[in-house]
Amino acid sequence: MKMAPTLEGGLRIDADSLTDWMILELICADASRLPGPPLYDQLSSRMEQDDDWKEFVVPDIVTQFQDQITHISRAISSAPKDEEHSGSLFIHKDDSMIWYGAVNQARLSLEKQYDLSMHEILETEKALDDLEPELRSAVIRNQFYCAIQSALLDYVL
Amino acid sequence: MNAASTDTQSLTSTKLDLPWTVIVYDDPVNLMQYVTMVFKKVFGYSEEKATALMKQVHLKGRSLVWSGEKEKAEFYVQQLHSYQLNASMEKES
Repeated sequence: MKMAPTLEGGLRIDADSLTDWMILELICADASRLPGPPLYDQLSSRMEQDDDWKEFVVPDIVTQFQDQITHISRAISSAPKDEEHSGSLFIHKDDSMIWYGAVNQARLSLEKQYDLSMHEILETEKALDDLEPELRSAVIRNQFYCAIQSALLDYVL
Repeated sequence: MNAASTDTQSLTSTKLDLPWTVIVYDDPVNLMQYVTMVFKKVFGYSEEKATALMKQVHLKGRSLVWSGEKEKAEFYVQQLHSYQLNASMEKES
């Protein structure tokens, strides 16, 4: 898989195999698997919310978070692919915050599931080999998602 | 004979409402560059101010990023939540 900025100010991800597309689809799967209370409740856990806030503010943000996942899920599944599963995914500048938000939800979910920040020291190749397969996979996915976010911040946002 | 008179005094005091503060808390996921960008977008802060506040969040675990009237504080907290930052508002004591 390759990732590069486009002349139009967006980002392009070239996927070369079915595995690459599966990895991209995992962004949505991870984002949807946040353990515990819904994301909004976790972000606002220190906030006293009155009835107006719950009625007028919360639903919009909850919908926004869900729409981010839906949007990139559609973009990934509808991206044109050839017979060998090669294809390109374009993140346009206008959609960049939606992508960033969805990928962030995936990272928040992985952090909540695996406490990845506690394993930062283990991110050398040798240390990665020593991890349980499930945790190793989560660490690698988190690094990949972080790379997408960094590219969005450096070239698009 | 003088009629009894009542002298009425009224006392008006104006008490300024205490300002509300917007607080952002550290988390292990949001990238520092992103947090700086959000502070610039939401509050219109300069790169220097946004970076200083981001570093305060990162190093001290929280930072008071804005203070002022309640309605505006609510608006800013709503914006910060929509950017997936952990934020709250408190009345200054």
